[in-house]
Amino acid sequence: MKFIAFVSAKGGTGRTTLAANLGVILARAGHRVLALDCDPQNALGTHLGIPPGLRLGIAEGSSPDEIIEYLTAQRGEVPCIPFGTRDRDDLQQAESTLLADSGWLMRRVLDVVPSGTELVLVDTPAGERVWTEHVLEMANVIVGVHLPDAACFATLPVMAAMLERQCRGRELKPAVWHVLNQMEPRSKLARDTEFLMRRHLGERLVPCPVPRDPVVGEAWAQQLPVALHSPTTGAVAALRELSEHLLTPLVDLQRHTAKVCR
Amino acid sequence: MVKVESSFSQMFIPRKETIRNSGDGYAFDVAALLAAVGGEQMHYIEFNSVRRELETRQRWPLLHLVSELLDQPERSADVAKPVSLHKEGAAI
Repeated sequence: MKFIAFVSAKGGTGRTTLAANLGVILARAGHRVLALDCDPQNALGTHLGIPPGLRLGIAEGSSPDEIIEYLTAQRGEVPCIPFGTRDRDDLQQAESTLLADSGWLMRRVLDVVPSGTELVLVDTPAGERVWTEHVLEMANVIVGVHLPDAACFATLPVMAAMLERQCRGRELKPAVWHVLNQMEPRSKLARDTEFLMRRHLGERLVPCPVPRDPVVGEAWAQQLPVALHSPTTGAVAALRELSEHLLTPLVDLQRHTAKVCR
Repeated sequence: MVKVESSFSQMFIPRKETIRNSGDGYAFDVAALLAAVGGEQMHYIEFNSVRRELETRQRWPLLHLVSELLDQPERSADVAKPVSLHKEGAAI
Protein backbone atom coordinates (compact mmCIF):
# COMPACT_ATOMS: atom_id res chain seq x y z
CA MET A 1 0.00 0.00 0.00
CA LYS A 2 1.41 3.38 -1.01
CA PHE A 3 0.26 6.81 0.13
CA ILE A 4 0.08 9.79 -2.21
CA ALA A 5 -0.47 13.06 -0.30
CA PHE A 6 -1.80 16.25 -1.90
CA VAL A 7 -0.57 19.41 -0.16
CA SER A 8 -0.43 23.14 -0.71
CA ALA A 9 0.72 26.11 1.32
CA LYS A 10 -2.41 28.13 0.46
CA GLY A 11 -6.05 27.24 -0.03
CA GLY A 12 -8.00 27.07 -3.26
CA THR A 13 -5.30 25.46 -5.41
CA GLY A 14 -7.43 22.43 -6.31
CA ARG A 15 -5.83 19.75 -4.12
CA THR A 16 -9.15 18.04 -3.45
CA THR A 17 -10.31 18.16 -7.07
CA LEU A 18 -6.99 16.78 -8.30
CA ALA A 19 -6.96 14.00 -5.69
CA ALA A 20 -10.50 12.88 -6.51
CA ASN A 21 -10.17 13.01 -10.28
CA LEU A 22 -6.74 11.38 -10.31
CA GLY A 23 -8.21 8.66 -8.09
CA VAL A 24 -10.88 7.91 -10.68
CA ILE A 25 -8.37 7.90 -13.54
CA LEU A 26 -6.03 5.58 -11.62
CA ALA A 27 -8.91 3.26 -10.72
CA ARG A 28 -10.00 3.13 -14.36
CA ALA A 29 -6.39 2.27 -15.27
CA GLY A 30 -6.70 -0.84 -13.10
CA HIS A 31 -5.23 0.30 -9.76
CA ARG A 32 -6.97 -0.51 -6.48
CA VAL A 33 -7.43 3.00 -5.16
CA LEU A 34 -8.87 4.46 -1.97
CA ALA A 35 -9.47 8.16 -1.31
CA LEU A 36 -8.84 9.39 2.23
CA ASP A 37 -9.88 12.84 3.39
CA CYS A 38 -7.67 14.29 6.13
CA ASP A 39 -8.90 17.84 5.54
CA PRO A 40 -11.48 19.14 8.05
CA GLN A 41 -13.25 20.84 5.13
CA ASN A 42 -14.56 17.32 4.42
CA ALA A 43 -14.97 17.99 0.67
CA LEU A 44 -13.18 15.04 -0.97
CA GLY A 45 -16.21 12.76 -0.71
CA THR A 46 -18.45 15.24 -2.51
CA HIS A 47 -16.37 14.61 -5.66
CA LEU A 48 -16.90 10.88 -5.29
CA GLY A 49 -20.62 10.57 -4.73
CA ILE A 50 -20.74 10.98 -0.94
CA PRO A 51 -23.39 13.46 0.22
CA PRO A 52 -22.08 16.47 2.17
CA GLY A 53 -22.69 16.64 5.90
CA LEU A 54 -21.92 12.99 6.67
CA ARG A 55 -20.64 12.66 10.24
CA LEU A 56 -18.87 9.34 9.72
CA GLY A 57 -15.18 9.70 8.94
CA ILE A 58 -11.51 9.21 9.72
CA ALA A 59 -11.53 11.84 12.50
CA GLU A 60 -12.29 10.60 16.00
CA GLY A 61 -15.88 9.65 16.64
CA SER A 62 -16.49 6.81 14.18
CA SER A 63 -15.52 3.24 15.02
CA PRO A 64 -13.37 1.25 12.57
CA ASP A 65 -16.27 -1.19 12.08
CA GLU A 66 -18.59 1.66 11.07
CA ILE A 67 -16.07 2.95 8.54
CA ILE A 68 -15.39 -0.50 7.06
CA GLU A 69 -19.12 -1.16 6.74
CA TYR A 70 -19.61 2.21 5.02
CA LEU A 71 -16.73 1.52 2.60
CA THR A 72 -18.22 -1.85 1.70
CA ALA A 73 -21.58 -0.24 0.93
CA GLN A 74 -20.15 2.42 -1.41
CA ARG A 75 -20.79 1.96 -5.12
CA GLY A 76 -18.64 4.76 -6.54
CA GLU A 77 -15.61 4.39 -8.81
CA VAL A 78 -13.28 5.08 -5.88
CA PRO A 79 -14.19 4.19 -2.28
CA CYS A 80 -13.66 7.17 -0.01
CA ILE A 81 -13.17 7.61 3.72
CA PRO A 82 -14.45 11.13 4.47
CA PHE A 83 -12.99 13.32 7.18
CA GLY A 84 -16.40 13.48 8.81
CA THR A 85 -18.38 16.52 9.86
CA ARG A 86 -17.04 17.81 13.19
CA ASP A 87 -17.81 20.86 15.28
CA ARG A 88 -15.07 23.08 16.66
CA ASP A 89 -14.78 21.27 20.01
CA ASP A 90 -14.54 17.86 18.29
CA LEU A 91 -11.84 19.19 16.00
CA GLN A 92 -9.83 20.60 18.88
CA GLN A 93 -10.12 17.27 20.68
CA ALA A 94 -9.01 15.35 17.58
CA GLU A 95 -6.05 17.66 17.02
CA SER A 96 -5.03 17.31 20.67
CA THR A 97 -5.02 13.54 20.18
CA LEU A 98 -2.80 13.89 17.12
CA LEU A 99 -0.40 16.19 18.92
CA ALA A 100 -0.10 13.80 21.84
CA ASP A 101 0.15 10.57 19.83
CA SER A 102 2.26 10.71 16.67
CA GLY A 103 1.20 7.22 15.59
CA TRP A 104 -2.56 7.71 15.97
CA LEU A 105 -3.40 8.51 12.35
CA MET A 106 -1.30 5.69 10.95
CA ARG A 107 -2.90 3.13 13.28
CA ARG A 108 -6.34 4.51 12.49
CA VAL A 109 -5.71 4.23 8.73
CA LEU A 110 -4.34 0.71 8.95
CA ASP A 111 -7.41 -0.29 11.00
CA VAL A 112 -9.87 0.80 8.30
CA VAL A 113 -8.20 0.59 4.88
CA PRO A 114 -9.27 -2.63 3.12
CA SER A 115 -6.54 -5.18 2.49
CA GLY A 116 -5.47 -5.27 -1.14
CA THR A 117 -5.63 -1.49 -1.47
CA GLU A 118 -2.79 -0.45 -3.73
CA LEU A 119 -2.88 3.36 -3.63
CA VAL A 120 -4.30 5.67 -0.97
CA LEU A 121 -4.79 9.23 -2.23
CA VAL A 122 -4.87 11.56 0.74
CA ASP A 123 -6.26 15.09 0.78
CA THR A 124 -4.86 17.49 3.40
CA PRO A 125 -5.73 20.96 4.64
CA ALA A 126 -3.82 23.96 3.29
CA GLY A 127 -0.78 25.13 5.21
CA GLU A 128 1.03 23.59 8.13
CA ARG A 129 -1.72 21.88 10.08
CA VAL A 130 -1.26 18.93 12.38
CA TRP A 131 -3.23 16.73 9.95
CA THR A 132 -0.85 17.60 7.12
CA GLU A 133 2.21 16.84 9.24
CA HIS A 134 0.92 13.38 10.13
CA VAL A 135 -0.09 12.59 6.54
CA LEU A 136 3.31 13.68 5.23
CA GLU A 137 5.02 11.38 7.70
CA MET A 138 3.41 8.36 6.08
CA ALA A 139 3.44 9.58 2.45
CA ASN A 140 5.45 7.75 -0.20
CA VAL A 141 4.69 10.42 -2.79
CA ILE A 142 3.99 14.09 -1.97
CA VAL A 143 2.26 16.23 -4.57
CA GLY A 144 2.45 20.00 -4.07
CA VAL A 145 -0.41 21.69 -5.91
CA HIS A 146 0.06 25.29 -7.12
CA LEU A 147 -1.77 27.85 -9.18
CA PRO A 148 0.26 29.86 -11.73
CA ASP A 149 -0.16 33.16 -9.89
CA ALA A 150 1.78 35.48 -7.63
CA ALA A 151 -0.01 34.35 -4.45
CA CYS A 152 1.02 30.73 -4.95
CA PHE A 153 4.53 31.64 -6.04
CA ALA A 154 4.88 33.72 -2.88
CA THR A 155 4.10 30.63 -0.77
CA LEU A 156 6.79 28.52 -2.46
CA PRO A 157 9.43 29.27 0.23
CA VAL A 158 6.92 28.23 2.92
CA MET A 159 6.13 25.03 1.02
CA ALA A 160 9.84 24.29 0.53
CA ALA A 161 10.54 24.77 4.23
CA MET A 162 7.57 22.59 5.21
CA LEU A 163 8.64 19.74 2.95
CA GLU A 164 12.26 20.06 4.01
CA ARG A 165 11.25 19.73 7.68
CA GLN A 166 9.11 16.71 6.89
CA CYS A 167 11.82 14.98 4.85
CA ARG A 168 14.65 15.75 7.27
CA GLY A 169 15.75 12.72 9.24
CA ARG A 170 13.49 10.30 7.39
CA GLU A 171 15.32 7.19 6.40
CA LEU A 172 13.01 6.55 3.48
CA LYS A 173 12.46 9.82 1.68
CA PRO A 174 9.20 10.39 -0.16
CA ALA A 175 9.21 11.37 -3.81
CA VAL A 176 8.14 15.00 -4.14
CA TRP A 177 6.38 16.38 -7.21
CA HIS A 178 4.89 19.80 -7.84
CA VAL A 179 1.91 20.34 -10.14
CA LEU A 180 0.68 23.55 -11.74
CA ASN A 181 -3.10 23.46 -11.68
CA GLN A 182 -5.55 25.63 -13.63
CA MET A 183 -2.86 26.75 -16.08
CA GLU A 184 -3.97 29.60 -18.33
CA PRO A 185 -1.59 29.75 -21.32
CA ARG A 186 -3.04 33.06 -22.55
CA SER A 187 -2.00 34.81 -19.33
CA LYS A 188 1.47 36.32 -19.36
CA LEU A 189 1.63 36.15 -15.57
CA ALA A 190 0.74 32.44 -15.64
CA ARG A 191 3.42 31.73 -18.25
CA ASP A 192 6.02 33.75 -16.34
CA THR A 193 5.09 32.07 -13.04
CA GLU A 194 5.49 28.65 -14.67
CA PHE A 195 8.89 29.73 -16.03
CA LEU A 196 10.14 30.82 -12.61
CA MET A 197 8.68 27.79 -10.83
CA ARG A 198 10.50 25.53 -13.29
CA ARG A 199 13.67 27.52 -12.72
CA HIS A 200 13.43 26.86 -8.96
CA LEU A 201 11.86 23.39 -8.88
CA GLY A 202 13.53 21.86 -11.94
CA GLU A 203 12.38 18.33 -12.72
CA ARG A 204 10.19 18.24 -9.61
CA LEU A 205 7.68 20.46 -11.42
CA VAL A 206 5.86 17.91 -13.56
CA PRO A 207 5.94 18.78 -17.26
CA CYS A 208 2.18 18.53 -17.74
CA PRO A 209 0.31 21.46 -16.13
CA VAL A 210 -3.42 20.89 -15.76
CA PRO A 211 -5.21 23.53 -17.86
CA ARG A 212 -7.95 25.74 -16.44
CA ASP A 213 -11.18 24.20 -17.68
CA PRO A 214 -14.72 25.05 -16.53
CA VAL A 215 -15.86 21.46 -17.09
CA VAL A 216 -13.91 20.41 -13.99
CA GLY A 217 -16.14 22.53 -11.75
CA GLU A 218 -19.27 21.57 -13.70
CA ALA A 219 -18.48 17.88 -13.26
CA TRP A 220 -18.11 18.37 -9.50
CA ALA A 221 -21.45 20.20 -9.29
CA GLN A 222 -23.04 17.20 -11.01
CA GLN A 223 -21.24 14.83 -8.61
CA LEU A 224 -19.42 13.21 -11.51
CA PRO A 225 -15.69 12.69 -11.98
CA VAL A 226 -14.53 14.87 -14.88
CA ALA A 227 -13.17 11.75 -16.63
CA LEU A 228 -16.80 10.57 -16.91
CA HIS A 229 -18.41 13.97 -17.41
CA SER A 230 -16.10 15.20 -20.21
CA PRO A 231 -13.67 12.42 -21.10
CA THR A 232 -12.23 14.11 -24.19
CA THR A 233 -11.26 17.48 -22.70
CA GLY A 234 -7.71 18.74 -22.34
CA ALA A 235 -7.99 18.69 -18.56
CA VAL A 236 -8.68 14.94 -18.57
CA ALA A 237 -5.80 14.31 -20.98
CA ALA A 238 -3.50 16.29 -18.67
CA LEU A 239 -4.76 14.38 -15.62
CA ARG A 240 -4.04 11.05 -17.37
CA GLU A 241 -0.51 12.18 -18.16
CA LEU A 242 -0.10 13.43 -14.61
CA SER A 243 -1.30 10.11 -13.13
CA GLU A 244 1.39 8.24 -15.07
CA HIS A 245 4.03 10.73 -14.01
CA LEU A 246 3.18 10.48 -10.31
CA LEU A 247 3.47 6.70 -10.34
CA THR A 248 6.95 6.67 -11.89
CA PRO A 249 8.83 6.53 -8.56
CA LEU A 250 6.48 3.83 -7.30
CA VAL A 251 7.10 1.71 -10.40
CA ASP A 252 10.85 2.15 -9.88
CA LEU A 253 10.38 1.17 -6.25
CA GLN A 254 8.46 -2.00 -7.15
CA ARG A 255 11.20 -2.99 -9.63
CA HIS A 256 13.83 -2.38 -6.96
CA THR A 257 11.89 -4.37 -4.36
CA ALA A 258 11.40 -7.25 -6.80
CA LYS A 259 15.14 -7.25 -7.54
CA VAL A 260 16.03 -7.31 -3.85
CA CYS A 261 13.60 -10.15 -3.19
CA ARG A 262 14.99 -12.36 -5.97
CA MET B 1 19.32 25.34 -14.22
CA VAL B 2 20.67 28.67 -15.41
CA LYS B 3 22.46 31.04 -13.07
CA VAL B 4 22.96 34.70 -13.87
CA GLU B 5 26.63 35.57 -14.09
CA SER B 6 27.94 38.92 -15.25
CA SER B 7 30.96 37.31 -16.91
CA PHE B 8 28.68 35.15 -19.00
CA SER B 9 26.78 38.06 -20.54
CA GLN B 10 30.03 39.90 -21.21
CA MET B 11 31.34 36.88 -23.08
CA PHE B 12 28.28 36.67 -25.27
CA ILE B 13 28.96 37.67 -28.86
CA PRO B 14 25.82 37.63 -31.03
CA ARG B 15 25.96 35.87 -34.39
CA LYS B 16 23.53 35.82 -37.29
CA GLU B 17 22.44 32.24 -36.71
CA THR B 18 21.29 32.82 -33.14
CA ILE B 19 18.80 30.17 -32.08
CA ARG B 20 15.96 31.58 -30.09
CA ASN B 21 13.78 30.10 -27.47
CA SER B 22 10.14 30.19 -28.59
CA GLY B 23 9.56 33.41 -26.68
CA ASP B 24 7.42 31.74 -24.08
CA GLY B 25 10.55 30.11 -22.70
CA TYR B 26 9.04 26.74 -21.90
CA ALA B 27 11.59 24.22 -20.68
CA PHE B 28 10.23 21.76 -23.24
CA ASP B 29 11.32 24.12 -26.02
CA VAL B 30 14.79 24.43 -24.57
CA ALA B 31 15.14 20.68 -24.24
CA ALA B 32 13.93 20.13 -27.80
CA LEU B 33 16.28 22.76 -29.17
CA LEU B 34 19.22 21.33 -27.30
CA ALA B 35 18.45 17.90 -28.67
CA ALA B 36 18.14 19.32 -32.19
CA VAL B 37 21.24 21.49 -32.36
CA GLY B 38 23.63 19.83 -29.94
CA GLY B 39 25.95 21.68 -27.61
CA GLU B 40 27.36 24.21 -30.07
CA GLN B 41 24.45 26.62 -29.77
CA MET B 42 23.86 26.06 -26.09
CA HIS B 43 25.29 29.46 -25.11
CA TYR B 44 22.69 31.26 -27.21
CA ILE B 45 19.86 29.30 -25.67
CA GLU B 46 21.23 29.85 -22.18
CA PHE B 47 21.50 33.53 -22.92
CA ASN B 48 17.86 33.68 -23.96
CA SER B 49 16.85 31.80 -20.83
CA VAL B 50 18.83 34.22 -18.66
CA ARG B 51 17.29 37.17 -20.49
CA ARG B 52 13.82 35.68 -20.04
CA GLU B 53 14.43 35.34 -16.31
CA LEU B 54 15.67 38.93 -15.99
CA GLU B 55 12.68 40.24 -17.95
CA THR B 56 10.27 38.17 -15.87
CA ARG B 57 11.76 39.42 -12.62
CA GLN B 58 11.58 43.03 -13.82
CA ARG B 59 7.98 42.64 -14.98
CA TRP B 60 6.73 41.13 -11.71
CA PRO B 61 8.54 42.62 -8.69
CA LEU B 62 6.84 40.25 -6.22
CA LEU B 63 8.01 37.20 -8.18
CA HIS B 64 11.49 38.71 -8.18
CA LEU B 65 11.49 39.08 -4.38
CA VAL B 66 10.31 35.50 -3.89
CA SER B 67 12.93 34.24 -6.34
CA GLU B 68 15.56 36.03 -4.29
CA LEU B 69 14.32 34.19 -1.20
CA LEU B 70 14.35 30.85 -3.01
CA ASP B 71 17.88 31.49 -4.25
CA GLN B 72 19.13 31.56 -0.65
CA PRO B 73 20.49 28.08 0.14
CA GLU B 74 18.68 27.77 3.48
CA ARG B 75 15.34 28.46 1.78
CA SER B 76 15.97 26.32 -1.25
CA ALA B 77 13.02 24.49 -2.80
CA ASP B 78 15.48 21.78 -3.74
CA VAL B 79 14.12 19.03 -1.52
CA ALA B 80 13.71 15.35 -2.17
CA LYS B 81 14.42 14.68 -5.81
CA PRO B 82 11.94 12.17 -7.14
CA VAL B 83 12.87 8.66 -8.23
CA SER B 84 16.43 8.48 -6.93
CA LEU B 85 15.34 8.83 -3.33
CA HIS B 86 13.08 5.86 -3.73
CA LYS B 87 15.85 3.57 -4.85
CA GLU B 88 16.43 2.47 -1.26
CA GLY B 89 12.92 1.15 -1.15
CA ALA B 90 10.01 2.09 1.05
CA ALA B 91 7.25 0.02 2.50
CA ILE B 92 4.37 0.65 4.82
